[in-house]
Amino acid sequence: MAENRLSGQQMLTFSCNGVMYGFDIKAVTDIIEIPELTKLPMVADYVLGVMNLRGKVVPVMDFAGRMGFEAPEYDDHSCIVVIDCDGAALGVKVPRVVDAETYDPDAVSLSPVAGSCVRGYLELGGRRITVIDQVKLGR
Amino acid sequence: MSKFDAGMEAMLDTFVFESSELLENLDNILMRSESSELTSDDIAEIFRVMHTIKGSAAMMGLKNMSELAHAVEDIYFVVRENPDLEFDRSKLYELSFQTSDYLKNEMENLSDDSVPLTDFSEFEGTLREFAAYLTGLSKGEVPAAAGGQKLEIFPADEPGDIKTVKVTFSEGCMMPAIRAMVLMNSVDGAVGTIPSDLEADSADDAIKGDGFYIKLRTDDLDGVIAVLKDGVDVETVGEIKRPARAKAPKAAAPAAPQGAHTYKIKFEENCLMPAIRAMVLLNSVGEKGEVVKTEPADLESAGAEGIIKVNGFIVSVKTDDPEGVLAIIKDSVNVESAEEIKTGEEKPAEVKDEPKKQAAPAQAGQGGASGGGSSALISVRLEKLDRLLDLVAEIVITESGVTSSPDLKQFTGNLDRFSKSARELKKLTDELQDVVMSIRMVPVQTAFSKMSRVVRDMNKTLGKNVELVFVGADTEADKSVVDILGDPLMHIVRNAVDHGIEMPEERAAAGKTEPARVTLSAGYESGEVVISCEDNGAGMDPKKLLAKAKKNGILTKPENEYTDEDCYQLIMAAGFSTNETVTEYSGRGVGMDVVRKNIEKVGGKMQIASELGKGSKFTIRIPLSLSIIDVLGVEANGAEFSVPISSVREIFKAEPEMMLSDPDGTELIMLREKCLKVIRLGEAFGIEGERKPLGEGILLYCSEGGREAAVYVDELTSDQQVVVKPLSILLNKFELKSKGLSGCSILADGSITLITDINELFRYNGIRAANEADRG
Repeated sequence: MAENRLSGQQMLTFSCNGVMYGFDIKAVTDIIEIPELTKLPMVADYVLGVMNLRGKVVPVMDFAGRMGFEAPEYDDHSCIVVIDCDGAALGVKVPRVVDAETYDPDAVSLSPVAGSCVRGYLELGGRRITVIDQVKLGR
Repeated sequence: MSKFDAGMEAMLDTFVFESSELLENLDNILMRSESSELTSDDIAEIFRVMHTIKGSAAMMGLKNMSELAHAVEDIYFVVRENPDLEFDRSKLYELSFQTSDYLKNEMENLSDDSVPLTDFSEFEGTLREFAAYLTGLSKGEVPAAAGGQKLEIFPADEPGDIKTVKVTFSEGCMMPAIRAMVLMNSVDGAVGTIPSDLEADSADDAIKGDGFYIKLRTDDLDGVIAVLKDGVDVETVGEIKRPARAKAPKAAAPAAPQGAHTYKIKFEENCLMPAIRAMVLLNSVGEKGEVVKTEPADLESAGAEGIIKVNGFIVSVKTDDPEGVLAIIKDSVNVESAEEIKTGEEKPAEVKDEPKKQAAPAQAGQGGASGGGSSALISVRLEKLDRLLDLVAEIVITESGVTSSPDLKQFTGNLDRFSKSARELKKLTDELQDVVMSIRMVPVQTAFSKMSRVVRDMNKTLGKNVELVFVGADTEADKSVVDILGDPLMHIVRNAVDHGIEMPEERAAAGKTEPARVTLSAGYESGEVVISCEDNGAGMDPKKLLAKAKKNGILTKPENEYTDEDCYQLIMAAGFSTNETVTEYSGRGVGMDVVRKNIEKVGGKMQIASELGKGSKFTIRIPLSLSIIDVLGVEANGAEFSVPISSVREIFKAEPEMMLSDPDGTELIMLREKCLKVIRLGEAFGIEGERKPLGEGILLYCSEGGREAAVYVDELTSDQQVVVKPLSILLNKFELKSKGLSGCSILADGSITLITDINELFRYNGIRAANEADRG
């Protein structure tokens, strides 16, 4: 059951194609460099494969691909944010992690779209941050 | 409402685990002694089991279980005290087994709040009646004195100024040793007691038999006696004068309650039952030192909660390790703050009018897990072992990462010593890995011994006098395998006794002289654990089975195509039961079906053999360890996969004369008069790549689940053992499992390999199983 209120006071923000996105920081377990990935056959294109995260096999998806965006530019700053989706670890490849920012959960305008990966939108320091629902992202 | 004390949830697992072990142990003792002799050791052990369960159930707040255990304890108390008593033994066993079952059931339902606590009072009545009957029998005899030896009340080296007070407790007093402990705490200047160790198991009996003696130094003996007389359950109190004797040679230093450290403990405000917390705390502190005094003294009194909430809980402990005690206290649940009160002299409100009781340190934990006496075993949570295994795997991977680091290759100097150490490290990590793997191995005995109980109970009700024999019960298998075996074995053994073994008169009529017997055996065979259950009963008649299956409409092919082997397999089909009447134990026709499913779920197989009139044999084969398999590393269109060796029958290269293709262009291969479909692994998995001619690569003749085909791969890369891990649940939506990818594994160099499931791969790619082909 989804909570009405967003838990946590901080979010990890990252940018993709010039837009800012955020994960609830409580859901973020690791931020790592892009490791060697083992490709999986017969999966969607946005699933980049699986990686070895300290002895655990963790699937990795491309954030832009998952959202249906154009492929962004990846560089040295690109990394994998490991998030916890209802107990299962998921690596999300993002072009660039920006910052960890404090926010007021009540200030998030919830998205009216049911089943969307976007939980809501937040105005922070003059920027709009799209807050991602990590559990829906993993589904 | 929760069934047990709030705040005890954390203990629930431990409680259930320990109590189950104890009950298992109890069953074993009962079973062993029922047919032979009930030795005093057995009685003591049963007594201990019940005592421990009583204590820990009380600690959990499970009054019903505690009282039930208590009632049984009472029975065994009488039995223990009167070793020569002649009584109705079968009744004793009946009641004991019933208790064991009741307690087990109750524990199973503990975590389910929808099932209310069972009221055992009626059964307890039966138990008490029996205890009374036993007591009645024993009354005729000499009252049970605790041994014949004369009690030494006045040791020779005792100083002259020590007074001795004898206290006797009323007959109905439940735990005199604990009462005695409380009394000790209520008097000043006590230096010793007889019996000296009040926590010893024997203390209760010694006090019941000889009374309780307190040695003390006091100027106000009458005052002390008055205090003692006020004690709960105290019947008489009186000073015992030392008989005239030679002067004491020397004054031994009395163990005065000096060196006691006093701690003040504050519980968190939201702590629900501070008095219970305090009791639990006392229990853990008791391991570090002797609890001399608590304030409030009576933790069970109604006022205790309030006092603790307002004043905090004060405990004095005699210990060598005051810091350690403080640490224990601070680490305890709900403890907010704890400090040592340095002024050791502070003795709050010494003499109280109310009778003082001290929390009975529950016996939980004391030898709880050790089951059969003091064996060198400990119990560990399986998750911890899993974690350990994971860690070891990581260490192995990291080790190879360090020793084959690319940085080393750039270094041009001498690496001799490094290499030596690296080799050493490798040896150690390899050994570590082996040891950790072996920790998870447990003997199948645990699964077997449960069957003794099943057979015993069935013997009672069916009157078949079946003898259960174990062979190779010390065979070890992975813990998860042994756990899975429990249910299938139960079904099979029940079936063997119920359907397999004939009634005694039938056996006699058939001229069978040997006793009815069910043999459970275990052993290894080529990387598999083989468990079999063999009976010397009637055996199965394939024709009857077939007729029955026909009647039930579960035949899948023409009747005349069924071999005997096929017929036996029918009993594992859903909706099949050979017994006309459904009994308590079997006959609903669901059993064997479930058994087969459970076994297949863990990669096992089941075979049935039978000979009419001679008996039947059920054989289960399960991989030794569920998680470790041998695989072949293969490359297909540039991607690497692992194929379980158990699925591969033969590896060969395709020669031109073997290749053919049908009109649709499907590639086929002839292997010794067998025509096999070729599955290109790369294409089956949808990996793009150049389609090489068949002759260039390698073909694996695989067979699994009755399906056969040749799998084409570009190259063989390795042959290794891997630990199978399931793929992340986040990938479930891609249904990789049903497309032929069963899991993955991390290799020694940290890379990941994907493991194929040949059976699913063939199914997904339209290869039919042999029996399906017949119908097609």
